[in-house]
Amino acid sequence: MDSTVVKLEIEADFGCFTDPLSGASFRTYPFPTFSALKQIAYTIADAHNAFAKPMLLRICSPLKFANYTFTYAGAYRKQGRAGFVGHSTVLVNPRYQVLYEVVSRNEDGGSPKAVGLMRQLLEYNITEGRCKRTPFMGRGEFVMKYVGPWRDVEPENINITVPRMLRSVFEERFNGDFAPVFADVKCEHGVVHYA
Amino acid sequence: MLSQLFTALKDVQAESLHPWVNKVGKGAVYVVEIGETGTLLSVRLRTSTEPLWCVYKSAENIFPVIGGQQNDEKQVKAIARCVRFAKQLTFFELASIAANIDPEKWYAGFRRVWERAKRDGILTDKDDYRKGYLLLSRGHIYTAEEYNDILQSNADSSGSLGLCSLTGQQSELETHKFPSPVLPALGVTYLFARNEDIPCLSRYGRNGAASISVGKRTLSELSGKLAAITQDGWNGKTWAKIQVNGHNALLLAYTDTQRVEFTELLASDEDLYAVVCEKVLAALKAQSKQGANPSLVKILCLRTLDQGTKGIEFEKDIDSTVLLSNLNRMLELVRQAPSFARLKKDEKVVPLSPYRIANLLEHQYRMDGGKIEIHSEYFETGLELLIGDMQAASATLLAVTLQRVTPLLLIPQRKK
Repeated sequence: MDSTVVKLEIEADFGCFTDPLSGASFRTYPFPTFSALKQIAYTIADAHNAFAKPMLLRICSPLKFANYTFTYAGAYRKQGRAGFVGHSTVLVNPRYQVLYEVVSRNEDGGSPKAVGLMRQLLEYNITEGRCKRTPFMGRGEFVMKYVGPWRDVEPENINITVPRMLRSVFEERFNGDFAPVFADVKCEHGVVHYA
Repeated sequence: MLSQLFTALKDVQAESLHPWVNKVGKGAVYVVEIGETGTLLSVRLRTSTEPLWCVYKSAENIFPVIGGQQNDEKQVKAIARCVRFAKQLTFFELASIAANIDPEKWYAGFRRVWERAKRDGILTDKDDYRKGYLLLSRGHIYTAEEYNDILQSNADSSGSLGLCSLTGQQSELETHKFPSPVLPALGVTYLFARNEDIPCLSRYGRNGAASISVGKRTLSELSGKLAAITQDGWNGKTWAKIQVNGHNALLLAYTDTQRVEFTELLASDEDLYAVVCEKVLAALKAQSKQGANPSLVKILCLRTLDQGTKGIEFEKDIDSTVLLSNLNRMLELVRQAPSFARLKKDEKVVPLSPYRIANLLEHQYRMDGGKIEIHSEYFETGLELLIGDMQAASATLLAVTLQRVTPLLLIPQRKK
């Protein structure tokens, strides 16, 4: 196995990877976006000069959607209103196996030591069940049921193409500008390859 | 909703429509004929078959429709506002001058014409313009195409260029409000709703049109496709009004080859469901005999989530050849299903359609003939009987059905 590759399995009761084009009626994509997976790895371990880049996703649970209504009564509600009731379509019981490649943030490749350290830290945290922040399935309230090494399961037979799926919100590097990138993403036999 | 609609309607062949061109609502609409100099000539009630269109820029900028108001003062303001907007469209400019200078005088004139129409028997005592809309007309009622041509030719092309999130192509981006077409069952539907007054809806500090980038041309094309697919003549073919768990919903079903009564098949609430199945079956068979290639039937259900928000309930697609075989199976089942007497009524209940099954499962039934409303969303599962995994759907529906009718099967306790 390539020494920079890390495997992670995640499972939750619900998941929501919102399509920004769904507006106020939030609707999830059928599987996580590239940037959502990148963020999940980031909650487990992070480093200043290397990050885990999602390469492959295996969808290990059937695609099920449900309507989910939530109330927001925080400071950013509409002025003069007691709360805001939002509607969203979320994924039910999502379970994924993800393959990450740890890469340097430096454009010229960076130090192999930094990449190695990051991979070791990530693998150690995954095995020991540690994390830097609480990982969640797209939305803060959807905390994970399982975060750990791959378990023995085969991907579901899901064949779907998501046209113009959000890939990333910000530029690749640290403190990148807001520059959303959309691309057609294909899932074949439950496996998604993130280019 | 925008991306699902864009994908589902990708193959619809329709002229692009300016996002401001909209259907006039279904309420009482009175057509007010205006002369070239702004004088009022006549007023009449619209006929039920008359397709009426208007320019809907925002809730406060509609032309040439004036919403019914509760008092005269508001009505006068509405007229002035409408006329101000009308000035942008040169074909109406001359006629609007009089109303623009003195809306109160214009309104008084309108009331005289209104009374005259009543005396002449054109309108009855039941008619009340305050409960409906006034549609101003000069010469003839403008069609969607005419409004479209005017607006497209006056289109401002000074918008910013950028990458459209839907097409991935460089185009002029929409930086103002997104289209909000009037759709059957749903009414005014914001294709992209993100209220700027609700900060928690913002995305990375951006709200409204600034939060996404979609090309103006893409939106015009989408508006045109939506208008084409929901046109009145295609009710039951490409669209149908349904109720999902007490909410208004719009079912769209589309295939690029032929207008078959797909939505009638999926959303039929009729007792004679077998007839509907036979009709669609015959159309599909005729299509395959003609040597047409199998096509994909795209199904989309839009639902009212709350007063201002509409969302996608579900989306599905099925190959027309698979649907043909499923329909054969369904028809066989429908014919074999036993008819039984309806409770309290001496009439026979004929086999049920998926939509009727889903509707019946929205209640739990009691021995005294009453029923309790229960939150349930089984329309999608009901459709699976026809377009998906029938066995899995049957297993789910059977369990739910038993739960709904359990009180009918229990022996009532004796009263002490």
